[in-house]
Amino acid sequence: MLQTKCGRAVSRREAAGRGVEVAISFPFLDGPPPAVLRGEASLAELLDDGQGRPGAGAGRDASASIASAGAQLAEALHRHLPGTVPKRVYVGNETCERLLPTPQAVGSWAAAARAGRVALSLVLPPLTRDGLAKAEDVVRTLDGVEGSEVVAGDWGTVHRLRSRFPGLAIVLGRLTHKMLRDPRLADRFDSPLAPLSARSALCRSGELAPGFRALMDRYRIVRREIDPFLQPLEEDEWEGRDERLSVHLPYQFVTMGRGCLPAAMHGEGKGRFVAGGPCRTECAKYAVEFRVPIPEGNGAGRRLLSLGNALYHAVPPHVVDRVLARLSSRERVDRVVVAVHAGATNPGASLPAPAPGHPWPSATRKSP
Amino acid sequence: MAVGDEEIAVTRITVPISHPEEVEMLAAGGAGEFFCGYVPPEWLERYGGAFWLNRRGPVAGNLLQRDDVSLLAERSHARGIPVFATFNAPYYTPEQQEFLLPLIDRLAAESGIDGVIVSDVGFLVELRRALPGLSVHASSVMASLNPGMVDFLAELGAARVIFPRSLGVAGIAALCADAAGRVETEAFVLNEGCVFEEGYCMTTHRSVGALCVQLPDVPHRVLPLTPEAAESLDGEDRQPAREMMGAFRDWVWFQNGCGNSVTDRGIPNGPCGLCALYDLAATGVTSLKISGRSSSSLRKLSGLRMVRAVLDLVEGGASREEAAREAVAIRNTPEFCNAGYMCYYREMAS
Repeated sequence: MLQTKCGRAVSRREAAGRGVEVAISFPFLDGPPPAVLRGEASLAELLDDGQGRPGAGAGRDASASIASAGAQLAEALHRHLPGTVPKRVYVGNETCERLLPTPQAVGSWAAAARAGRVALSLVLPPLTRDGLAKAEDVVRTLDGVEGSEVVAGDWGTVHRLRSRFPGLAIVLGRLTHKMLRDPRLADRFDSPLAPLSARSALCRSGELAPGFRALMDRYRIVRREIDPFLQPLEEDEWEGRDERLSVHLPYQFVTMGRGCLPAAMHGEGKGRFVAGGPCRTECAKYAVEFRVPIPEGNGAGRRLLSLGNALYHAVPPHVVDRVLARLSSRERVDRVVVAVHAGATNPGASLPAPAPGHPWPSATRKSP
Repeated sequence: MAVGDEEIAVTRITVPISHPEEVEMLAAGGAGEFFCGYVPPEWLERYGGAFWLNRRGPVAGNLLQRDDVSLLAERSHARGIPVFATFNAPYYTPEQQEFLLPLIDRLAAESGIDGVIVSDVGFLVELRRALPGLSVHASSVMASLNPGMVDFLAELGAARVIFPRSLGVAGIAALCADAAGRVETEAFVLNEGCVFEEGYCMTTHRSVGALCVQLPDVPHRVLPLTPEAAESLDGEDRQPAREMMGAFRDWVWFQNGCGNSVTDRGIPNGPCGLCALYDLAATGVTSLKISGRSSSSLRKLSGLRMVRAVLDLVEGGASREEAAREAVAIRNTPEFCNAGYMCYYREMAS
C-alpha cells in the first residue's frame, strides 16, 4: 500500500501527483465539460492538444498568451507531478458576480461530479447585497455534497456563510490574500539592493499576525488560496500557518474592477464601466492583452491579460517551476488550481493558423 | 434636517488635511472631520519608500513629526472637529503591527487623535484587542460591498465603515440601513477615482505610477477566445472593439482627475458626486469624504467649498433637481459633467 507524506494509506491513483491534489478551474458560465466531471479528463487533454499546442478551440490570437501559458504549464505539471489527474473541479468566477452559476447548474454539476468521484468547489467573487443573496441559494445546493467547499472572495461572504451554514467548508479565495502582485515590479523586490526589512515585508503578508490568526479560528477556515508570486515568498508565508494552502497556476491575479472592459464593447455611451452594469458576457469571447513596460527594462515588458473585469499575469516558466519544485517539501501546500479559460476546452477543433494580432490604436483622446 | 419627505441626521464632510496650518482655513470652510496621515522617521529608516505606511507616498500628504499631529489635533479640537489618522496599507506584517500598535497608542493618548482608519482586517482585530477605547474605521480598501461585511465589522467592533468608490447610491442606502445604530458610515463625494476596485488592486503606484493610468497608452490587442469570436472580430465586432478601447482611455482619463487638471478658478476636475448629494444625504450616511491628502491647500479648500455649498442647499430644503443644477453650475465644466465618466454615482447622473 502506498502512503501519503502524512502517513495516510492511498490508492495508486491517489498517489499519482505525489499527494498534491490538482483542481481544474472553469471561471466562465459554460461550466466544466462532462469528461472532467466524470473524472476522465487528463491534464494533457485539458491543457494541450496533443501536439504541444494547448487550447485547441482557442481563437488564433489567444495562442500567443493563453495557449502558450497552458502548454508550458502542462509540461511542468507532467514533470513535477507525474501521473496526476484532476480530482477537483472549480466552478464560478472569482471576480464577477454576474457569472455566478445558478443553483440548478451547480446541482447538476455536483451530481455528475459525485458520480465521477470528483470533488466540487464553488468559487464566489466579492459579492454585493444581491449577489450574496443569490450565492446563498447556490451554496444551499452543496449541502450534503461530499468534498464540496466554497471559495469566498470577501470577509462579508465568509461571515454570512459561516452564520447560515455552520458545517460548510469555507476556503479563503486568493483575492483576500493581501500582498503586492504588480508584475512591473514584483520580482525586483528580491533585489539585494533593497533594505532587508522592506524585502521581507514585500515577500510576506499580515496573515501570521495574531489578529488574522484569530479570524481564521473564529470562522474555522481550513484552507487559503494563494497566487504564484513573482517575488519568492518567505518560508513562513507557506508553512507558518495551520490551514492548508492551494496555489493557483499559471495566472497571477493582479487587479479587478466592478466596471468591466469587455462589457464596454457593446455598452452604450455613459453606461460603460458602471459597476454591475449590463453586459453580453463578452468576457467569454474576448480578452485584451496589454504589454506594460518594466522599469529599466530597455523596452522589455510584461503581458497582462484582461479577462472579464480582472487583470491577470501568466507567470513565467521559472516561477511555475519554483512553485512546483518545492511542493513535495512543503507540508501545508497540497493543492494546485489550474485555470482553463474559455475556448481551451474544445478538443477536436483545430487550432486556426497563426495570424497577425489586432493591434488597436486607441481612439484619440477626446479634447475637453 | 429634512431631505424631501425624509428626516435625516446632518451629514458631516470629512476633509483631508496634511498640515496644522490648514486647520483654520478648512474649519472655516465647513469641515466636519479631518483625516490625516503620519509617517514617523523610524518607518522611513526601516522601509525607505518600498513599503508605504498608508495609501500615500511616504512624504506627500503625510505629517512627518508627531508634534505636528499633536498641534493639528489641538487646533481641530478647539473647533470641535475630530481627527482620524490613516493606517490603511492593504496589510501589515506581524513585525509592522508590533511597531504600529504602540505608535498608535501614543498618537491617541498623547497627541489626541480620535481614531484610526485601517484596511487590514487582522490589524483591526488586533487594534480592538490592544486599544479597546480607540475608534477604528474600516477603510474603503476593505471593499465593504454587502451586509455580511457590515455585520462582520460590527461584530469586530469597528466604529465606521467607509464604502468603496464602486458602490452606488442604492447600495449605500441599503448598507446604511444595515449599519444604523451599530456602525457609522462614510461615502466618497469628491476627487481621486479608482479605475479598479481599490480593495482588490494588488498593484502599486510607487516608482512606476498607477497601472490603470498606464494601460491605455501601452500596446494592447483584443484576443478572440473562440474561433467564432475570431470571425466576429473580423466582422461585426471590429468597430465595437475599437470603441471599447477608446472608451477605456476616456474612462481612465476622467478617473485620473481629468489628467489631474483644475479649472481656471482652481476647482479640481475629476471624480465627483456633487449632483448626487441630495440622494446621498437621504441615505443617512454619516460622513461624506473628500479625497486628496496630497493636494494643495487651495485644492482642498475649493473642493470643500463646493461640497459645503451643495450640501447646504440640500439641507436647506432644495429639491433634487435644484441641488443637481447648482452642482453642475458650481463646477462650471458642463462638458465634463455631460461626459458621464466623471461621476462617482453614475447611475444617478442627470
